[in-house]
Amino acid sequence: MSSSENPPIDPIASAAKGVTDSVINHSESKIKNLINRFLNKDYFFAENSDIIEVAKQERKRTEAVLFKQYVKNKDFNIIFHMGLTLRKLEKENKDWDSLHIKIRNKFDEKGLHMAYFVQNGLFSKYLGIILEKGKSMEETNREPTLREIDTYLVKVANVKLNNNIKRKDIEE
Amino acid sequence: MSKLVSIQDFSNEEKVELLDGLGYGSDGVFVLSLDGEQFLDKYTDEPIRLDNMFIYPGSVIILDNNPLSIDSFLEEYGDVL
Repeated sequence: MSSSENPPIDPIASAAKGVTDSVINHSESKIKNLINRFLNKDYFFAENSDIIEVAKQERKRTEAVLFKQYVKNKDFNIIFHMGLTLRKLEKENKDWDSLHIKIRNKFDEKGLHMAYFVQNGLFSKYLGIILEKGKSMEETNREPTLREIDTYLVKVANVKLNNNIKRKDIEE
Repeated sequence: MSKLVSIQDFSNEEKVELLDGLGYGSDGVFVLSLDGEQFLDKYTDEPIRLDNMFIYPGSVIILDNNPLSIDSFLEEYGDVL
């Protein structure tokens, strides 16, 4: 084949293709390397590391650690942590509607009430009242206490007005 | 303990390639299982968005990266993160 039969070489296009190929190959090798490290359990992946850090911090809070000592029900512990997370989001003026919906979908209205109870700081106060009664730890069964929140006093509604979060106690 | 790799800056193509390498797929928005169905978060029963994934090794756990799912994961598997 003579050189005249070869298509002319566009040096700019050729260089651009080289760069593109290089980027694709780099990306492919990057992902393959990550997958290998993942399968070796070296790595895990997450979109937003902040959510993981907040979850870890809330679980270490004194309230959460104390609660877990007496409540072995996993769902109650998760609800408690969600209450603390709602409190944090509210304090930082961050949107908590999405989490609110997820809690209700997972644990129904009652679970959401429990989370509000923790969010509003009422659970710690209520626990303090129970402890003042002088019962022993063995006598004080925390799980029914949390279950009966609706019966006792949680008639708390969280109302958003004019983008300001306001709380309103409701008496039925 | 496994180390966190943020995939926040990954392109959608890279995320799909990552899922493909782990035996999952995507329709460009949600994570799909092998049979092409939307893969659901085991704790919330909601579809998992490609732009909000949490993926943990072992038996490959893919979750929606939200506080409820992450806390439920930690409650089930312990402080592994």
